Amino acid sequence: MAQLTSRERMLRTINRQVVDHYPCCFMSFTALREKLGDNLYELTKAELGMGLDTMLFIPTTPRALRREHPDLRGLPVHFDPQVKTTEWREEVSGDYPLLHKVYDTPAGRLTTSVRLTEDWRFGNRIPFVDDYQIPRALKPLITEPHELEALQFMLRPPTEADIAAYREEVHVARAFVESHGVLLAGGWGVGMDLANWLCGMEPLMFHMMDRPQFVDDLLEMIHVWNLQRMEVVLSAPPDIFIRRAWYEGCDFVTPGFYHKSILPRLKAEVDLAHQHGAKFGYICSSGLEPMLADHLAAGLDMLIGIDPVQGRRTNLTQIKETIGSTTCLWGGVSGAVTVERGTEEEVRTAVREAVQSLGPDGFILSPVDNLTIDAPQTWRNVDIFIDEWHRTWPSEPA
Amino acid sequence: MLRRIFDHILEGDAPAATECVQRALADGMDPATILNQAMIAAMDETGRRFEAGEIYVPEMLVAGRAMQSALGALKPFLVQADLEPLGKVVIGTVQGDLHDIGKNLVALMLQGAGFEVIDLGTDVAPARFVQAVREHEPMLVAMSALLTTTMTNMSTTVVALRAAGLRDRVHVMVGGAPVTRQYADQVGADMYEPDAASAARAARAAAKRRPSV
Ligand code: B12
Repeated sequence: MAQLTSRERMLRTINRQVVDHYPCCFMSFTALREKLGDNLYELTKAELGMGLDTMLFIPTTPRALRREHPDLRGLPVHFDPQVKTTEWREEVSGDYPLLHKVYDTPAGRLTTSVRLTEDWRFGNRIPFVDDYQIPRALKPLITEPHELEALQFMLRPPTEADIAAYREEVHVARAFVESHGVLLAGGWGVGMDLANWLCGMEPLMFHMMDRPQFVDDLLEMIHVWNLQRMEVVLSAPPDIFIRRAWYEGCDFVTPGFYHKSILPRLKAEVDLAHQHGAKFGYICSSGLEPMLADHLAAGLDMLIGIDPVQGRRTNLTQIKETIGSTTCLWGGVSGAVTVERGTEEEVRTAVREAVQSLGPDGFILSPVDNLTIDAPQTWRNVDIFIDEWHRTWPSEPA
Repeated sequence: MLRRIFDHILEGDAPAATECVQRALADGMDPATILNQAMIAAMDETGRRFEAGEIYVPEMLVAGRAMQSALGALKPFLVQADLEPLGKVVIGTVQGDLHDIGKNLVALMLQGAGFEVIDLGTDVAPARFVQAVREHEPMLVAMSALLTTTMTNMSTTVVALRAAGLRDRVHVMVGGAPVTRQYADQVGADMYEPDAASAARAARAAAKRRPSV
């Protein structure tokens, strides 16, 4: 078979067609991205230069500009213009200072407070939602059902200006992916992850058990917002649409709640992506096993983030057997444990085991979920990882 | 009544579990029997179901909450009857790491197994572990780590315990998603356990042994 472009290889893998060899596309590569000034065009070029498969993710807005939502890639998050925010700092003797933030909306006030630990990344500011803030929050933003009315003012659809800026970027991005032969990815969609950011993780689990309707209502609000954002992102259209769902595994959600409250909305989102001709990828790196039947029912095209080390209840063989004949599996090796810290032999063995259990058909190899440490061992192991990937290609190309 | 307390804890119904404990006490039931045959037994069963994949973290959290609430009602009677806990455990997530869902489950299961748990929270510096060991004289120090970048602080903590002359007075147990038995050996811990239920079993077994390092 003639050598395929990376885009062809990725799409054919997702569509379960014959490929020259199985692809290797890093789901995230922060260590490299940061070296390149958080420029996703440069990241794509650099990954191609390393011989990897890759994708251009749009919108490419860098993290520093996603001030209100650093961990939610994608279109800007806008509040209703009537929302007024106030922030202040409180010194606490003998403990970390506190930061408080108040959002005054026409439907009432929302408040949050965080402890300003030494490693707080945002100066004297609290973003709307973020991973760093949950474990430091003394009070999460949402604690009671009546607060959802106010929250509605924070979850506004994309503005005309956002849509125009996105369309402009699509033009450039399209030309780029065509000339480089790479995949165009769009996103991120979000569901339970946003609910966790808003409510805190353990409190949300208690709400789910004590007052499931509250969480269901919250998820509905997020779903409607998400669909509005998806419509815009999908207008490109990208080849694949990605939804983040790190907190949708069984360590956060019971399978029963997942089935009732997450699956129907997820399925509607998958269907929307399909209507626009995009494939749907779902990032979840832990607690997968009990949800696999629902992943199948939702019609996911790709399950992204399969981590054999840090992923709890993640059995590669079982995942392959249960959903591998229809869903493309993406991941297979732990980024933080194996690639950043492992020996050469550990990296090579992990790559071989990943392809044996998850591949070679319908499989995209990647460290999960990220490589963040810019250290010689990381780069050496990335070379070994890529070399072992090459060694596991078929000797006679298909 | 014991059966009902057991069931309410398993279902995570805190008010019902607490009320049943209060009624059992009012009926003159022996506090140790309530603790061992209903409450600890219910947490053992919770742990078994969690390990077997029959229940998940949210169910375990509400079972733990029910157990804690019922324990609140029972505690004064345990003190009166001079019933000692199985031992004390100091637990925390190591410095630089703020992940605590797993650590909290381990703390719950240890408490459910009959230990008095001193939870130091997250981002716990070695000096705080040392100070807590001095202050509370636990039989076990349990450390959790989820980040490879800071899991080396398990080793730093063991070194600090040694430097303070406390290492041979406590068992040290470690766990968390990136931690392995091999890593536990490397950092000088006595025990590694993969999850909260097995942690409680291992702690019970260790309570019968003297720390030996
Ligand atoms: C939830 C989560 C968070 C939450 C934590 C909330 C909280 N209150 O704990 C939030 C969103 C705050 C968070 C933040 C971050 N996280 Co995080 N997070 C996770 C996630 C998705 C799940 C962890 C979890 O709670 N699992 C559920 C519990 C029940 O499982 P567990 O902790 O493993 O515990 C069980 C066992 O391990 C064991 N156990 C645990 N502790 C102990 C202790 C003892 C003594 C014993 C015996 C047993 C034991 O028993 C438990 C139950 O049976 C993991 C992904 C993963 N695959 O693990 C990433 C993960 C741990 N996070 C990661 C990272 C990088 C981060 C961040 C640094 C960056 C980021 N944006 O994600 C931040 C910042 C953290 C900080 N320092 O402030 C990486 C770590 C990579 C690495 N270098 O090791 C992971 C692996 C994600 C990934 N795939 O890359 N995170």
